[in-house]
Amino acid sequence: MSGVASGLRLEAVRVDRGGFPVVHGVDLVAPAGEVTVLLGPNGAGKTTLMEAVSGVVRVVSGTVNLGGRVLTRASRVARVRAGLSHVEQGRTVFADLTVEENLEIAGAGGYDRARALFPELASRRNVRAGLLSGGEQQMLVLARAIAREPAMILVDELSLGLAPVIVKRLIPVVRALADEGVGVLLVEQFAADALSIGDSAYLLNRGTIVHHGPAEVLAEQPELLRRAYFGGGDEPADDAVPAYAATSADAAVTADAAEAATHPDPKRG
Amino acid sequence: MIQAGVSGLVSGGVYALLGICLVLTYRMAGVLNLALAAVGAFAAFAMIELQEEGWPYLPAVLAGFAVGGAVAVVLGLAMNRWFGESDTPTRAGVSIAVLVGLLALGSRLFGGDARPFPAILPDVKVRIAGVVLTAATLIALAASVVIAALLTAMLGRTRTGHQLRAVAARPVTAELLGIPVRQLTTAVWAASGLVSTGAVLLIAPVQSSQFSSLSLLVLPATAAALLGAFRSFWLTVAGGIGIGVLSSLIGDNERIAAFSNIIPFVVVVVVLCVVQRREVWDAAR
Amino acid sequence: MRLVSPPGAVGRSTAVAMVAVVAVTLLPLGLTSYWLFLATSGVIAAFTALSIGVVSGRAGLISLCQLSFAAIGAWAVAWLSMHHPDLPVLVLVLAGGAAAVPFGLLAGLPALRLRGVNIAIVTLGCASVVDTLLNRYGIPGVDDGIIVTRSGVFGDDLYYFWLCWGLLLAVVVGLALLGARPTGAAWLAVRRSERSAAAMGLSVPRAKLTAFAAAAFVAGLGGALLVVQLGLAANQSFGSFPSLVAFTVAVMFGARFPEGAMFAGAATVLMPELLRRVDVPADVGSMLFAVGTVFALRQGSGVAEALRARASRRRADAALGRSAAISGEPAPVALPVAVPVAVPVEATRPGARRAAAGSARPGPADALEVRDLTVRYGSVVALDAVSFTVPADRVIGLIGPNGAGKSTLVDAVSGFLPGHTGDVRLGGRSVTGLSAAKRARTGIRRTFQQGLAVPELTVGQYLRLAAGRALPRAEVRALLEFVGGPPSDLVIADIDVGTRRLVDVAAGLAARPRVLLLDEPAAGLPADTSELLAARIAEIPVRFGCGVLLIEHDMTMVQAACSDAVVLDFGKVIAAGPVEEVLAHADVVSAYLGGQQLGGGAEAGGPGGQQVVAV
Repeated sequence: MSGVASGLRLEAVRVDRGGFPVVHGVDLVAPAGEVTVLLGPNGAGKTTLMEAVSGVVRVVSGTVNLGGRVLTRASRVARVRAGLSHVEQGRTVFADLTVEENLEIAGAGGYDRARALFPELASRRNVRAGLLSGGEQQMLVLARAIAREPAMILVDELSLGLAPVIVKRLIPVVRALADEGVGVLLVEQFAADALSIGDSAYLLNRGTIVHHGPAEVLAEQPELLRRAYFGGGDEPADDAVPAYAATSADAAVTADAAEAATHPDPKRG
Repeated sequence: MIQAGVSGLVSGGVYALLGICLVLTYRMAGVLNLALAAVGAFAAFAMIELQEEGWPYLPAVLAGFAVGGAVAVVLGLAMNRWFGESDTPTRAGVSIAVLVGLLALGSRLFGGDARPFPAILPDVKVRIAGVVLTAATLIALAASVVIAALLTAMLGRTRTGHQLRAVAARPVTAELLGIPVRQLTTAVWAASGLVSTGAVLLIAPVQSSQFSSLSLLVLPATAAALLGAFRSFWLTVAGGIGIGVLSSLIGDNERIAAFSNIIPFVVVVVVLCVVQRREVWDAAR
Repeated sequence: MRLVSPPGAVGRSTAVAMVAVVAVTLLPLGLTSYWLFLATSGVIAAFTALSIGVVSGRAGLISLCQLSFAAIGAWAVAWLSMHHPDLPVLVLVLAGGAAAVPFGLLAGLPALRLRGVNIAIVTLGCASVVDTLLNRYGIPGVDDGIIVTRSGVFGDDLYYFWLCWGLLLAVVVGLALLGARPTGAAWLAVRRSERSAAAMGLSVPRAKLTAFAAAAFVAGLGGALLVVQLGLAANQSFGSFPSLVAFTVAVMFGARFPEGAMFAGAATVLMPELLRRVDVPADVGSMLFAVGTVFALRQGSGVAEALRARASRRRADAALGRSAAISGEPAPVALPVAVPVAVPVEATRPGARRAAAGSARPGPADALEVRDLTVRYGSVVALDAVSFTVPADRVIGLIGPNGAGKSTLVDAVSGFLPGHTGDVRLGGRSVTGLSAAKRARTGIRRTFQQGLAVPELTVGQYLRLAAGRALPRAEVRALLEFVGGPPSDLVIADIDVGTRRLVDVAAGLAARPRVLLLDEPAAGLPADTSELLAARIAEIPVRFGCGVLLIEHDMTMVQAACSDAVVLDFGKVIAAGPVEEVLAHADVVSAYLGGQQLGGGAEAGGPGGQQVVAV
C-alpha cells in the first residue's frame, strides 16, 4: 500500500526526558492519506513522541522513517524539507507578526490552499496574530503548517482550550487534508472528536502503546479508552473500573459510535 | 557647553552602534555578547598590524572588517553548537569568558599600550552655527541612525526580517516551519562583528586606544541597550547618543568631571529599576 | 535495600577534607618566604572566589563587581590604619569586611527587580563606578607611601598566613552553617525559582540582599587581608578586568564549594607563577582560564561540582542499591512497602465519609474558601467567578481538561496573581491582600507541576527549609516515610523527577499548613507508586489536620484520594460534589472526551446526570 510507504513509520522509538525514559520503544505507522489518532491520558508521552518525530527532542534509540527516508538523526529543518510539519500544542502563533506575515514566513507556495481552507482569516490578514481569538489563532497555526504543503502533518492538541464549536470547525479540515493525500498524526484529548475522523488509532499509556487498530474498533471498545483515561492499571478485569464510570463513558462513546453509524462520513473511504 | 555636548556625539554614536549590535544578538540569538567590543577592537588592531606590515590602507581596513565578522561568526557558531540549549545567563557567562580570553589574547598579540590609530576618515570639519562637527561625528551619527532605520525596516517589511522576528519569538517553532534558523543567526553574528569593527575604527582615533579600554566600550553600549529594553533599536540609539552627550557635558564641568562615566550609569540603573518595578517575579514556568 | 547512606562514603569525604586542612595548615612550615608570600596570596584570592560562590554560585545572581567590594574593604583598612594606627590586625580586617556590607546591599538593590543578564550588566557597571572612584580618590596612603603596618604577632609572615587561613576556614564554616539554616538555603531556593521560594514562605528580596551582603563581607575581608599583607594595595588589583577574571576562575572551579574557592584562589596565584617559570607570558593564564570556564559552563559544572557530583552519585547508587546505573530504566527510590508509621492511620478511605460530602459549605471547619475568584489576562478571562471550599478534613480533587484554568487557580490562591478579584479566605480570614510568601506563612502551601525542589540541598535540608521551623530528625523521617520518599540524606539532584514530587509533598506537609495545594504530584511516577501516593494523600487530613486540593489528570488517583471534586472548564466551575457523581456528570464527560457527545451523554445521563452540587 503506497500510503504506508509514503507515510510515517516509527520503529522501537525510545525518548528520554531529564535522563528518564518517557517513551519506551513505540512502533507506530501513520500512512499518507489517513488520519492516525494518538490517544492517551495526560503524561502518557504523546507530545514527547511527536517532538521526537519532528526533532525537537532527541530519539535515544529506534528509527523515525518518513516516506522511506530515515530521519532519526536529521536536523529539524531537514525534517521539514522532507515533508514533515508539526503543529505544536498551545497555538504557537508569532504574536507580533500579522496573519499574513505568519503565513508568509513559512510559505513555500501553499498559501492559496491555506487561505481556501480558512476563509475566516482573509478579513483578518493584516491583524497581529496576538490579537486574534483562540480559534482564529489555531486556524492560523494550521494554515501556516499547511502552507508548506507537507506530506505528513503532526497535530498536537488541536482543541486545547477551544470551545466545542471551534473544534467542530477545525476537525473536518484535518479530515479534508488526509483526503487530499496528506498523512495526519493527530493527538487529541477529546477522544470522540478525533476518532470520528480517524482511520486508525493508537492508545498510548505511560510511554507504551497499549492498543492499536481501526478507529472504529476503539470507538466500539470504550472500556479501552476509559481505562486509559479514567482508570489506570493494566488489569483487564472490568471490575477494576467503578460502575458509574462505565455507565457514563459507555453511554458517551457508544452514542458517538451510533452517531457515526447513522451519519456515515461521506469523506471517509 | 554646546561644543562639549557636540563632542560627545561621536562617542554617543559609537555607543549607539555597539548597542544596536547587542540588541540584535540578544533578540535574535539570545546572547548578551559582552565580548562585542573586544571583537571589534581585535579586528581594529589586526588592521593596524597589517598596515604596519606594509599593507595599503584600504585592503587593511577591509581585512580588519573580515576579521571582525569572522571572529563574531565563530563565536556565534560556538554559542549555537555548545550552548544552544543553555539559558541566557549561562550564555552571558560564556561571553564573559570570551571577553576575558580576548582581552588576554589582545594584550598578548598587540601589547597593552595605546596605538596611534590613523583616522579612518579624512580630517574634515563642518561648522554649523558655530559648532564644529568632525567627519567622525557625522559618520558615527549617520551610521547609527541609518543602521537602526535599515534594521527596523528590514524587520518590519521584509520576509527575512519577519523570519528573524519569528526566530526571536519562538526559535523552535521557527525551525519546525523550515526557517533556516542557523543561517539567519550566523548572518546576525556576522553583522554584529562588522558593525562593531566599524564602531571601534571610528572611535579609536579620537579616544584612548588601548585594546582593553576599547573592549570595555561594551559597558556604555550595554547601558544604551538597556535603555532600549534590549528590544528597540531607536531607543538604543537615543540612549547611546544621550549617554555620550551626558558624559561629555559632565566631563566639561570641572567639579564633577571625574564622574563622567558614573552618572550616566547611575541614571540608567535608576531608569531601569523604575521601568521594571512591576517585575516582581522571575519568568513563570 | 539500605535506606541510610553507607558511612564509608560520607566518611571518606570528611577524611579527605580533614587531611587537606591539616596539610595546608602545616604547609608554610616548609616554605621559603617567597612561596609563603604566594601561599598567603592564594588564600586571600580564595576569599574573592568564595564571595562569587555565594552570590553567583548559590544565589544565582551574576555579580561582576566582587573585587569592588574587596576594594572597599582595602580602602577602609587603609583609612583606619592611617587614622588609628594601633588597631589590632584582626579588628582592621573585620572592619574592612564590615565596611563592604552596605555597598553589597546597595549593589543588590537593583537585583530585586532586575534578573539574569541585566544584573550582570548592572554589577559590571558598579565595578566601573568603583574603578573611577578609586582612580579619583585612591586608596588612602598609597600616593604618600604610607603603608599599613602589621602589629603584633601577625608581623610575622608565618602567623599572618595562619590568620588568613584561619579566617578563610572560619568563613567556610560560617557559610556552611548559614547554608544549613534557612538564610543560606534560601539563596539556593531563590536561584532555583523565586516563585517556589516564595511559596515556601521565604522572602525573596531578603534572600537576594543577604546573599549580596554576605558576599560583600567575604570579598571585603579578602581586600582587607590583601592590603594588610602588602602594606600598600594598588588600585589596579581591584579593577573591572580582575573582577571579570575572578568571575571566570570562580565559575571554572565551582567556587560555590569551599574546595572550589580554594582551588580558584590557588590557581589565581599559581598560574602566573608557573607560566613565568616556563617563560610563557602571564596573559596565557587568563586565556587558559577563559577556555576552562567555557568548558565548565558547557559541562554545567565547575571542577568542585564535578568532583562532588561523582562522590554523591556514588553515595546515591549505594543507598539505592543501584549497580552503577547500568540499567536505562528509571531508578526511582522505591517505596518502602509496609511503612511503620508513627501515627495510627484511621479508616480514611474517602468512601468512609462520602455521606457527608455534599455538605461542603462555608463554616469554621473550612480550611480554604474561594469566593468569586476571577482572573483576567487582558481580554481573556482565565477564571470566571470561581467559588469552592476545601474543608480541613477533606481531599478535594480539582480536575478539568488542559487549559481549563487549574494552574491559574492554584497560582491565584497561592498569591502569584495579585491582580485577581474575589476573595480567598483561610480559616475564615481573608488573605486576598497578602503576598505569596505571607500566604504561605499563614498556612497555604503548594507544590509546583514542574517539581521545583532545590537540587543542591539534601532531602532533609529541603524539608527543614520548607518547614520554616526547627524540624526534628524523627519528624523528617516520619514525613518521608509517609509519602514514600527517599532517604533524607540524599541530594535532590540525584533523585529522579517523579520522586522529587514526593519530596515536595513531604516538604509541603512539613510546614504544617492549613491547606495544601498539590499540582499533579503523581506526574512521572510509576503506577504502583502513584497508587500508594494516592492512598497517602487520602490520609493527609486526618494525619496532619490539613485540607488538600489535588490537581490531577489521573482519574484513578482522584478516585482513590479525593472525597469530592471540583471540575473546571474554560475557567468556570462546571460541576462540584462527591467524586463519583461529578465524574459521571454529562458535562464533565463531554469536557474530557469532547464536545461531540454533549447531546448523547446527557440523554444517557448517569446517576449524576442532572444533579450537580454547585458549591
